[in-house]
Amino acid sequence: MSALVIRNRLFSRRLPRRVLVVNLALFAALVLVLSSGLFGGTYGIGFGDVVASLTGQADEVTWMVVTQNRLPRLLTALGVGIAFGLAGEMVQTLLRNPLASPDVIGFSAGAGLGAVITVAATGTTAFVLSGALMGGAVTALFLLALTWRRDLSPGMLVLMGIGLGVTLGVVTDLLMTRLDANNVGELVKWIVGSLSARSWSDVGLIWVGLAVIAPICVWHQFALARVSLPDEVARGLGLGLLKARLVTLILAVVLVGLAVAAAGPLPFVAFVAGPIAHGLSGVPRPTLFPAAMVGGLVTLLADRAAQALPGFLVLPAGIFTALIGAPVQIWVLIHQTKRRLQ
Amino acid sequence: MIARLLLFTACLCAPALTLAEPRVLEHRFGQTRIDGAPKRIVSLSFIGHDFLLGLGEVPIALRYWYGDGPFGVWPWAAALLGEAEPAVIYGAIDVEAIALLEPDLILAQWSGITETEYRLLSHIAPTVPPPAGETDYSATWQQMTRQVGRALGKEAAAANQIAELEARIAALRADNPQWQDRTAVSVWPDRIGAYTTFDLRGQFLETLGFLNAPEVEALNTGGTYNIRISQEDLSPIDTDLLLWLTTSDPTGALARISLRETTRAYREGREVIVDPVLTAALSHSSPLALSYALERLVPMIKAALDGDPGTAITYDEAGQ
Amino acid sequence: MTGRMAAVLFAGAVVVAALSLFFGVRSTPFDVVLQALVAFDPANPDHVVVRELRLARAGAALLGGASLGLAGALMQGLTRNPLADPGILGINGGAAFGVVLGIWGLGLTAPGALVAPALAGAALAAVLVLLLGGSIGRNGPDPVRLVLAGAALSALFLALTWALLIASRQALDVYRYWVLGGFNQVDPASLVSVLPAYALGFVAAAGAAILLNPLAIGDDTARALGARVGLARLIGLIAVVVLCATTVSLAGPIAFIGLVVPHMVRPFAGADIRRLVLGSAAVGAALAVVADLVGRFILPGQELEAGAMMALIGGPALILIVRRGRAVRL
Repeated sequence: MSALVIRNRLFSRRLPRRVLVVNLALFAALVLVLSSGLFGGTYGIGFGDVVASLTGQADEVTWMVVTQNRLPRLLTALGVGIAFGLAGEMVQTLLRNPLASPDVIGFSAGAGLGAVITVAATGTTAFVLSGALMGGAVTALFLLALTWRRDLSPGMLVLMGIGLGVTLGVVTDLLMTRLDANNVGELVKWIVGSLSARSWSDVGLIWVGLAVIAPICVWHQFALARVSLPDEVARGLGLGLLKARLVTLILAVVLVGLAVAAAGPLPFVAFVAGPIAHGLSGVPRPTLFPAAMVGGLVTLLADRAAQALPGFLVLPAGIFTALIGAPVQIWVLIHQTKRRLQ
Repeated sequence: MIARLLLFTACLCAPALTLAEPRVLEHRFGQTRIDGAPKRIVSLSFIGHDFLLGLGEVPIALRYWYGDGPFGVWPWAAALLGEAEPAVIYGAIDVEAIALLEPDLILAQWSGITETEYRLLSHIAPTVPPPAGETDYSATWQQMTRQVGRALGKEAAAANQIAELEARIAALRADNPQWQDRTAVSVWPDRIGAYTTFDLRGQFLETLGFLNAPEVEALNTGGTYNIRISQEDLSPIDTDLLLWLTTSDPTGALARISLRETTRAYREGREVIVDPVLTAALSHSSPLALSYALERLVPMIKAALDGDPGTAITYDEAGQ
Repeated sequence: MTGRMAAVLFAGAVVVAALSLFFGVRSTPFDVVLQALVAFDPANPDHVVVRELRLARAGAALLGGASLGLAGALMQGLTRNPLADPGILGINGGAAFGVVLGIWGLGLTAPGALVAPALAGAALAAVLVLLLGGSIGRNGPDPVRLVLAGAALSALFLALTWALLIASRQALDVYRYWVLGGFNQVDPASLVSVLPAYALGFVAAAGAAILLNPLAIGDDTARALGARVGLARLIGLIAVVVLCATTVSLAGPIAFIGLVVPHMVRPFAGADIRRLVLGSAAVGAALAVVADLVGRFILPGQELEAGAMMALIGGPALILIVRRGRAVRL
């Protein structure tokens, strides 16, 4: 069979074989990386240990390592990666430009700044989600206002977003230098992004959010695919451009806000997930499912890399998402150019 | 100096022979209960090993702060390491690696530990974060010594240590009434960063009877540990006694402070350029470190305050 | 952008720089400032502040701003990409990484000594970004790809820099302030020690501008007419790397001047790269000096670093420029 066709009351969709293979491969890769995160590791954990921990028969330390350290961290990383991947893919599709990912055009920076402000102002992390959501929303609104009713190419929006993002980053840096130098350790997480010492509340935050938002994204992807057509064509087809664009942006802001509140503004995940997924599966965008899985893979791999450092050395995951994401993106770039030239 | 160290540790043997009954420590994140006498101790506090060694315990793992000493331990405490080779922790806290060590006590009073990390570590062994009401690095050396003593079941020994050191400082104060209400400050020359009384180093100067530079305190609106002083106006640090802290040869950094030679402190020889080892002792601020620091620093302070510019203390890398 | 306009702008920049001598944390009355310049008394702290600290600071702002403006204009000319800015393309990031490596690995602290590792880092970044971005080679530059490559390299260098910083608490403390980028910690000795590097950079920039000018009509045509394409690009690259690295080692990474300034100048310079470069130097100097001066007032009782100031100005400025459609379409 060269393609899988799903047709039912709600929608009809044609999935070429390559897409299926890619999705399966990505899923398998995810399972593999998750397992390697759960088993083995510095404190050797075997399958029996995991079962014992879950059934309440393990000793206290093993139980702690499995259920309080590894599981929350892995689940948070997976959820955050999925959220970033989805947000990135949607915005890049909407703006028809791989540069225009929410972390490049300033959403992550805005969410991070919002988070830092709430933590610094209230002295507690209880309101971080609201802060991150507000920060991301304000940034998006600002960009929206700037491009309202103007004939601007996506490239221009990207330029403005980059400017905004850098400015927000500097404001965050400024805030950090004015703050108590010794609580900086906590706050660095919201500047670079970190996956260590996650708790079940972080897991709950991201997965409850995903449970609500992801179905909406899936439902919305068809509208998004049509909106990414050139404006004249879409208008000619009588589609609600404005509403579709707004919904996409709102979804992206909420996803980024959730992810940043749970793990900080991990760089590069949103930027890379879409192009990699698209490069692999080759179908017209949006390719939500592969992008979500690639996002999850990138964060999980970054987390594994962070944990695999020798001895007692521990570095935050944000460093590794950049170290992984950047070269991969460069590789995809080179590969795509080669293909185009053939 | 070795004699002093031996005297210290000799005092501890007797009290340690009494059995330690279960005890409860109150701290920033709640309570920790400790039974028996811990022997496998992991020190996550950047200066915790100093306190442990001072009370006669060698940790099985310690947190590296800075410096070239063996296992990150500085000279005033290195002798007490003996043949031990503790594991050294660099960077952030790795819960699983600590679990592998199978400790029975984890000290983290000056470590930046978060509440989540504390809860995770508590499942491995009794964990001691900063005392209640303190921030990550604001606990005093007396508080920390008392907590460590309590955690080890050596409260009497710890109390003795504190009393002895405080008595020594009180004696110094009494011998030097001319220090009272003179201003003093300790500063890093690279960024011209002056310590406030929120920090160990500012507190130390005040226990000796000095006033930590009032203008620096006035600039401290946010409760920070270190205030950056502008190149254009050095008056906040132009005090009766000015300590330049160093980690390496500061000549270049000091030369870059254009206004230094116009300050009264410079002209009247009131500066003390504190060599790296002594700077580290002031920064570690444990009973062992302070004992060492007092011995070396007091003559320097006297020379700086004697009103004779010719006796300014200059940089001496070797530093005894 | 005629020579006359550029001269006027330079003069304006110098005037603002002169003005900046009067303001700062230490209040200095008018007559004291004049005395400091004319009848210098080394024992008078006010005089020392004016003549050494503020003069060095103003000089650094002029040179730094000019060099960044120049580098941006050259970069945009070399790559024919209106988004090219040493910051966005990762060159500042590479220089910063070099600096942190120098502090952490070699224990260097003097700005003069940090120029060398900054140069190495910037050179590496420049070569990488041009290779990866496809600007070297016959296919011609692709703006999207170049900026993507630059963003990737920036992130990579930032990650490596952070890895070094986290391993060393001391370096982190220094970096937190240094990364904001500012001229207020520049002392006279440091400034003097980097003057040769600046001289080299400016000369190379001038040479590159002259050689690059004919290329505006397209590489092949230019080559057919005898222009030395490879040489022009090489000299241009050297100029960009030297100028950026020197400024980064002196004052930290300062974003946006290289991006915004050429766009401000382009409407007046047209297609003539020599005019663009000259104008960018002048406007860059003026912008840096103004940012440095305004930064002294904007927060009560504190100074705002020039780098932070530039980002706060530059971000909105960029947005305005793009909105007005003055930026070349992508």
